Amino acid sequence: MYLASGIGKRFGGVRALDGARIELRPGSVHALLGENGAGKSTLVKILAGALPPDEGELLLNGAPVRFSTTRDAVRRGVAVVSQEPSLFPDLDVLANLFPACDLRRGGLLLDRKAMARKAGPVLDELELTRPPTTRVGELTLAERQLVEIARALLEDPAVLILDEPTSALQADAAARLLRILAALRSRQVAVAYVSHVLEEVVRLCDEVTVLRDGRNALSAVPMAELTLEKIVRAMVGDRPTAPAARPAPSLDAGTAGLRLRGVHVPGHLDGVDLEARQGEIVGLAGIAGAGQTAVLEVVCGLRIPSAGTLAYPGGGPRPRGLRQAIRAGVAVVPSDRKRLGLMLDKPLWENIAQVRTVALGRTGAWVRAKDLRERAAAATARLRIRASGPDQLAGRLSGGNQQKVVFAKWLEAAPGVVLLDDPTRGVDVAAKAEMHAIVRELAAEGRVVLLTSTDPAELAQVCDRVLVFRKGRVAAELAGERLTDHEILHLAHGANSE
Amino acid sequence: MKRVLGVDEFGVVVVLVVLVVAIGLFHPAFLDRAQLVDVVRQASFVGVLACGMTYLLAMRELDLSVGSTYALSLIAGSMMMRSGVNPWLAAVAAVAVGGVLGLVNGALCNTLGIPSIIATLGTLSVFRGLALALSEGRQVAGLPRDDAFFTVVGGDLLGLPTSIWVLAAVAVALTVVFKATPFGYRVRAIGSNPDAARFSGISIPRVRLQVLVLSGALAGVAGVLTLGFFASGQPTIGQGYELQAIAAAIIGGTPLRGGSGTVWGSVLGTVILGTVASGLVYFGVPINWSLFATGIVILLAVALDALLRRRGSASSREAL
Ligand SMILES: Nc1ncnc2c1ncn2[C@@H]1O[C@H](COP(=O)(O)OP(=O)(O)OP(=O)(O)O)[C@@H](O)[C@H]1O
Ligand SMILES: [Mg+2]
Repeated sequence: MYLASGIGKRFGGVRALDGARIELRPGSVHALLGENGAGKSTLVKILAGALPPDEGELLLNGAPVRFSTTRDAVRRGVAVVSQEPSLFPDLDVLANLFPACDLRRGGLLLDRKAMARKAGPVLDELELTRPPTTRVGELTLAERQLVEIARALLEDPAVLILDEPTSALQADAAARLLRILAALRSRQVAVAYVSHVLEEVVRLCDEVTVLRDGRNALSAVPMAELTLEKIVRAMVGDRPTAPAARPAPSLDAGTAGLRLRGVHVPGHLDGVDLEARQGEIVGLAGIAGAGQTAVLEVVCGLRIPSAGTLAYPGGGPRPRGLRQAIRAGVAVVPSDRKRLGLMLDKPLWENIAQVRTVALGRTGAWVRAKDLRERAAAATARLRIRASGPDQLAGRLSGGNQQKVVFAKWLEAAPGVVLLDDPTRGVDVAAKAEMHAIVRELAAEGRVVLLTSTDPAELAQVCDRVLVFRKGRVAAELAGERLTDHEILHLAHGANSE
Repeated sequence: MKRVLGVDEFGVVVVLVVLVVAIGLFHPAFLDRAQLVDVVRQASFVGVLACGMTYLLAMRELDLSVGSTYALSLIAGSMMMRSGVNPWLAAVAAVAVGGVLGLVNGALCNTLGIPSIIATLGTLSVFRGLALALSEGRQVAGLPRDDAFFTVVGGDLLGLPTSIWVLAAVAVALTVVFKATPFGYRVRAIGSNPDAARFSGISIPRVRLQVLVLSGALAGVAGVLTLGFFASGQPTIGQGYELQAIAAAIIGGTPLRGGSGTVWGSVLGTVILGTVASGLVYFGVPINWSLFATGIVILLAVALDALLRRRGSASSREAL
């Protein structure tokens, strides 16, 4: 049993935790929930020995503990999958799985054979198909997350803490992880589970703790006594969590939209036709690598097709690269926010101004920091980014709030074509609703929106139409009554349409 | 004022003051105005190079060829003057030569896809070699010494050497560009997170080229200042200036990891290096020990600055 009580933690002027409590029991999966910035990851880091608490105590099997490093905690049986990947990108998968290098031959040389033997079953269970000699830097975000999970499982922990482990995973990979968790429960492992996918939580978890402003709003309440609505209310109070019903899109039939014709990208796309009119939100669905991401990459100039045509709304030549596409009014909200989206050592306002003012120079020859701060403050308020102000460093924000900053920086650029690659990853329910509302506004203003998501329900809710990809082709198109998360999943996994 | 000389430079200023006072305590003659001005004047050539190096470091690049670019533009300028070209025109041409050499560096990086540290490691020798070959290894003398160019550029203006004014002007201009224009923000954005910069529509090759041209042109400016002062061209001049410029920028507080930088800090860093060099002369350190002593002082300066910096930001320090 692992108990943390009365935990307090400040960062400068910010009180991240204020007397928080969580109790993890063997054989129980414990959900740790709360809105973005509520203090979940901070509590997780304290449980895992990555941060010392300012106040409060940790009791492991009744005895007070104080870990000085995460390695320390692992040795005592507490393993963690942290929200932000903490892998070594230049090392291969196998080396990353055994960070302590404790499998050696003759006490000196790494025993890679033994490592591979030990890792094999775990990797198979998670269905990570890449060879273990792949450099981690070459993996997708989802694959990196699987490696991270595998690393924690290999420690054979008594307490396992997962901070948003499924946020980058496709539905099928998430389902696999949930099966593994069920197995861990039967092995009497104590599991803590942080997630913003509440449906998943309701299905999987045994008890729930909700943090709000660093304090417990719910403490270890059995799931049987709760409903989704009760949990949401405890997290966010009365803030709206679903945008108003979707009005029919007002499509301007006269103007040409975004058009792809017969687009081929060897190994990725095999003759894709796609037309998205201005004012339309088109969802791209499919299992990982089915082609939906490749379409986004073609539209933003990252991939040059070997055949086929691409036309932007309002004409203009096909972009020669990412930069030309961005200049032509394309926005790319990438899913890998840490690597592709943010300057962690820079204040919020600089991040938010990066496209419009810095890259495109649209605000003139001078950078007017005061104006930009004000604009950033407005964006912060609108998206409810939890920050001390526009001067807070992006690296000090909670994960979901960082995601909102990436979204905000592209909103600033007033793009004509908006490409959203899983834009609500790790964002809480209320903020997700706000982002959905903004996406609809963008469409209503006559922009073209292409959206991918690891959550089919999000696609069904936000999009006017969804194209389901299979093996680099558009396998089906869903709209109206047929546009449901069920149907999307069904088709993505290979059932034939029509 | 805080904008131009902000908290970033506080530590370096303290280091400099401590150094000057320490030397002055033992040798009051060092505190003589003429002596102090001379220290700054001597530092002004490397100072101009260090301003450009600040931009490069801020975007995680390096220009190892600045010392050679400096010598080659100086030789080109002096040979033009010797052959009768108007010295002012030759000076402009020398700056342009520096810019073109920077363009060569940038083109090498971008077409071959190699990091600037590699490309400029090569051109360090290429440019120096050209300077030696053009001048046949000899000093370029016989310049029209009576021309106004030499009295203005090599002389004083409003009571201070012209090269100090030029250094100050360069530092002010580059600080403003660095802190208040999209270009300056682009440079820092690339240094902060190159992938994110690319994904925001910033062209890294283009900015790299621009900054290398800037660095080359500044080497040309330094060459012209030197030419004005010495009224002759020495092809071996400026060897090791690239390392001095890098050291000055780092002493001044520009981190090697990129993402930020301070032009004024680099200028102050050069003056610190110059102060150390003169101080060693005052203390009569044997010539064979002076390099050793310089190195020790650099390490002490960086350590003191790091200490002051940590004090300053202790409250916002992260536990992780
Ligand atoms: N290193 C830090 N420096 C300053 N403030 C921090 C730091 N780490 C976290 N914070 C602040 O502490 C608060 C809690 O952050 P935390 O990461 O625990 O949130 P979270 O509940 O995990 O949110 P999310 O759902 O977005 O991941 C936030 O307001 C955040 O800005
Ligand atoms: Mg978190």
